[in-house]
Formats: sequence, structure tokens, C-alpha cells
Amino acid sequence: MSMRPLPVGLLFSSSLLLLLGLLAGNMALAMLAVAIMVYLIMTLVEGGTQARALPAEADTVVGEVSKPVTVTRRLEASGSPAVIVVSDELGDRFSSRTGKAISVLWKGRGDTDLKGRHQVVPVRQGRHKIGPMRVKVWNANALEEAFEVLPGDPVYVKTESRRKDMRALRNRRSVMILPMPVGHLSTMGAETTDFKEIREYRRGEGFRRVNWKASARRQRDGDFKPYVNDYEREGRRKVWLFLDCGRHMNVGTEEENALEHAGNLARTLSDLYLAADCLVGLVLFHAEGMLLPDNGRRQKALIARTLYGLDPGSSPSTMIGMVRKLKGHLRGGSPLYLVITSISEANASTLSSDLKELKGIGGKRSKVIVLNVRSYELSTRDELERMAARFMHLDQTIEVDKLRRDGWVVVDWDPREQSPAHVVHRMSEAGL
Amino acid sequence: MNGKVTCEPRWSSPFFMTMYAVAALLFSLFVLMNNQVYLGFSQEGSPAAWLFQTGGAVLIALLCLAVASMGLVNEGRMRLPYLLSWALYAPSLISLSNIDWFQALDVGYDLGSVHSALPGWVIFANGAVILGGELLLRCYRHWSDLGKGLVSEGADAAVTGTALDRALLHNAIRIGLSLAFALAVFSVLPLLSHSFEVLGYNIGRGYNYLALPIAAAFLILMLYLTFGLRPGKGDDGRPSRPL
Repeated sequence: MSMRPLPVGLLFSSSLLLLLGLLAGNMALAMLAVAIMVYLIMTLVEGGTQARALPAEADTVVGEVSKPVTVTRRLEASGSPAVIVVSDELGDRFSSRTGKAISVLWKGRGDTDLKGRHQVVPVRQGRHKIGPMRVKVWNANALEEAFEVLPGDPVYVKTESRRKDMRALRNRRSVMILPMPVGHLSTMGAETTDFKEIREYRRGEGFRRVNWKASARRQRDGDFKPYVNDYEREGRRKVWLFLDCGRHMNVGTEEENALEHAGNLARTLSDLYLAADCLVGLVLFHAEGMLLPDNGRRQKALIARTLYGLDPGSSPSTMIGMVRKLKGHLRGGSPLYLVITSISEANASTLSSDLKELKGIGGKRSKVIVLNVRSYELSTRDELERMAARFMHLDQTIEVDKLRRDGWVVVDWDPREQSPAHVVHRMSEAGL
Repeated sequence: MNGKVTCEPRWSSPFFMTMYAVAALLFSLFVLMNNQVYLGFSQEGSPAAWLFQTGGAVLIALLCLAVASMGLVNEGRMRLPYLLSWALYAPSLISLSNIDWFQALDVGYDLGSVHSALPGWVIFANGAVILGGELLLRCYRHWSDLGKGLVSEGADAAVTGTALDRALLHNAIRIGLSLAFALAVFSVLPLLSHSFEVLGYNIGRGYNYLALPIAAAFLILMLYLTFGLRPGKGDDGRPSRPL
């Protein structure tokens, strides 16, 4: 944005008026020229503006996906009044029409610390960079060209998923009758010798279970509770989560898309099954990421990290490819397979054959549930578009019905209208 | 976040700028109506007398308003009212001249034919109002272009408007002060000149109207040198390059 410097034009106008005034002996013309000169002299006396970018108060701001986050940028300015523009480059991880966040600030008289506040909306989970901060200064006299100061450091926005805490579910009955792998017996099965984790001592446990070394180590940090070794228990069964990360899952708006919702659902369900003492594994297809079944807090954290910042279509891997690759791990134990995808005419037939192969590997007692994310609704903004989405969903319904006729359990989920709790309820209704 | 619509009245909006232009135009029309040029046309026997006697002034005023209103439709045409104002103001401004070029060039007119019934300071005030409007318009365009650019790049329209309003107010105050200073000097100078004459200081009598313009010429030369040699701003806000 280049601005025409004004002094040349004003000096010329002033000279012309003065010359005419001299030629005509006209005091009024000369005084009009003087008025322009006085204006220019005022700007000269006022001087320039200096500005400097200051480091941010915190280099990471925590927010939530699809919710506005305020990022504060600081700078120091002195000298004459000015209009200061603070801008930050935003990547594709933020909802932005122009790829920039801009704050326009007015700097009055004297030395002052200014704060530019950008409201940004992250559209993906992860740690996303904002900046580096650019500062451009326009002197308020409107006579000088704008200038830029040295850029400021970037800041980061860390976003968490909008995971539903299943413990807070009102309808706890749904959780109680949650479909479980066939072999699931109880969380109180006999202990094996497989080490699980170190956890806090609970009243009534034998002293032989206390891990004295670990307890002593934690005492140094001011934690005086005793810790015990926990071991895997018998009777736990496997749950495999298959998450489709294909490009067709990128349907929706910048702020809300099917993949984000599918990722949140996967995390919610994994938390739920981990809490029920199941071994939970995660397989992503059309994206990088795979976790063999395990349980405990570490597995919970690993699943969360794998689901963090999903990149649609970043890998050529397919569901059948992953199933064949993990054949050895998938076999046995009558696991429960949960496949989260968005069914369409294009992938329905492939999905059917993939599920057949998966079921074949898992054995007769294994269960397969397909969780179908209704993605068309996510792109709608008004009632008319919602109506169009319902028509488009008819095609999806035909494919879903075909899968159901083939004997597969398919649970439909409209993430805009229904919470993950609804999925749990529908899964339990499915009669598994 | 982007392009938030605001309904708050903004004094730097095109409406206020146009209203200022209309005021300047009406002031010029008032000054013209007190000038011999206008009065001569409206006298009996003049070819255009019938027009002036049948509400011609109202028609001219309406025409002026129509021209001024163009600014509301198209910001690019905001200068038109000022050009028209200068045209209406010119005869009265010429009447303040001390050198009669009409007579010198023998064109059949003299300064008496553009004589104004208004005092000199009112005529000068009209010029100051028009000049002030022109300067303000330049600043308005400067900030308006910047604001449009920033909003198109994603800045909040309301916040940008507030900051640019303050910048324009800053310019308006400086322009107002400059013109007030010029008006004060213009009004005081004849009194000073008269006082000197009363006291018996008659140096340069008859040519004292040249003293101020000559002083101003030196001043303008200094300004050319100052602005020409002044360095610009570098990346860190320090001087680095000439303008």
C-alpha cells in the first residue's frame, strides 16, 4: 500500500499561491500560502514516530478448536501521534479470509505501550504458529511515507479437541450398556505379571504392592503419598478404532469439518473404553498413525497425541492395506472394531469388502460397528442448504442401507445436532 | 472478526466531508452574491437580469448542492465542489489585489468591476474555508485509502474507523490552527500598518503589501530545503533515506 507523500504537492500549491499573490499584490493569496506553510511547519516541529515490537507476555496461548482465541501483541511507541498497524501471518490452521490478523491502533502523544489484540479462530487441533509480528507506522500528519519496524517474535496457539467427558454424561445408562468386546468380564479380574503402571496407593491394598523407590523419589517433590505397582488383569479385551482420514472427510466449513468431529469422537470413545479397562488400539488410514492396543494413562496420552492435528489425505494408506499390515495383531481375542468414516457411493463397496476381511481376521466372535459421520450437514449455513444436504444424504442412506442389509451395524451421527453421547446410546441400541 | 458493520456515526464519513464541501460552496456563493460581478448581472438592462430576478440565485444554489452531492455518490468527485467554490470565489479574491493587471493590459475592465461589498477578512475567511476543505480532503483520502486497504486485508472495520477518525481529527485541528493563524494575521496586519502610519513610520509606503509575501517567499524556500534534505525512516524507525 504505497502512499503519495504530500509535502511536494503542498509546497507546490503554496508556492503557486504566493507567486500569484506577489504578481497581483494580493495579501489574501499570500496569506493562504502562509497558512499552508504554517501547517507544514507544525508537522516539522512535531517530529517523527518511533516504534518497537515487544516480546509477547506468553509465547503460547491455549484455546479450543472453532472458538475465538485472543492473541495480544505488544509494542512500544514514542514521538508524534501515528496510526500503527500490527499484523500477523496466519497459516491454514486458522479461519481467515485473507490469511492475516490485523489490528489498527492509534498512538496519541508521548511515550506509550500499545496492545494489539487479534481474535483468531483455530480450525485444527495442534500447536499453530502466528506471526512473525509486523509493525507498520503511518505518521498522523499524513505527510510522510509509512515505515516498518523490525518484526516481533511469533506466538503459538495450542488447541485442544472438544472432547466430551463421558463421566459427565447425564444418561449414564448408555455408558453402562456400552457395547463391549465379547471376552470382557470385569475390571476386577485376576492380576497377571504384566506391569501396567505406577499409581497411588488405595486404602486396603497390601504393603507388598508399594513401590518404595518410586514413593521415595516423589517425596523429594513434596508428594508424600505412597505409590504401588499396578499389573494387567485378566479378562480385558481389545477395542480397535479405525479412523478414516481421507480427503472426503475434509467436508465442512473452515471451522467445522467431518474429520475434526471424527477425531473428537475417536478420542471420546477411546477414553470411554480405556476407563472400562479395555485395551484400545488406534489405526488411521489415509493418514500416518497407528497404536497397538494397550491401556492406562500412557495409552490415553498417546491416542490424544496421534489424533492431534490430523492431516487429511496425507498418506496413501487404505483401510484394507492397514488391515493386512496389522493382520497378526488384529487376529484373536474376539475384539470390537469401531470404524469411523463417512459413507458415500464412492467408498461404500470398498468398505463392505474391507469390513468382510476385517471380520474374517477377527473371527466369528468379533464385532464390527461402523460409525457414519454425516458430513453434508456440516457445510450448511441456512435452512435451504440444510434441505439440500438432506437430499444429498439420501444417496448416503441408500449406501448405508446396503451395508445394513449385508449384516453390518452402522450408526449414523450428525455431529452438528448430536453429541458423542448420542453415538454411545445408538451403539447400545444396536443390540450388541 | 472481519468486516464488522458498524452503525455508529463517524464524523470522518463521506457524509460529513460532503457537508463541509456544501458549506464551503454556499459560503462562496454568498461572497459572490455580494460582488459587483453578480450585482451587475442582476441589474435592470442586463441580458441575464430576468434569470436573477426570477429566483436565479436559488437555482444556482440548487445546482451547487447537486454538484456537492456527487461526493456522496462517488468519493472521487469530492473535489468538484471545491473547484466550483474557487471559481465562485475568484472575482472577490481578485478585488483584494493591489496591482491592477486589467488596467495594465488594457482589457477594458478594472478592479472596480469585481469590487465586493464585504469586508476583506470575510473574503479571506472564504478562501481559508475552501483551502481548509481541500487540505482536509487530501488527508481524508489518505486515511480512507489506507482504511479500505486494511479492511480488505482483514482488519476490523469499526476499530480501523476509530483509529483513522482520530488521525483525521488530528489533521483537522492542525489545519484549523494554521488557517486561524493566517486569518488573525490577515486581520491584524492592516491595523498594524495603520498604527505605523499614525506613529509616522512611512517606510515603503504604498508597497507594504509586498513585505509579507516576500517574507513568505523566503520561508517557502526554507521549507523546500528542509523537506528536500530531511531523511526518511528505516526499519527500526530511525532515519535512513531521504524522502
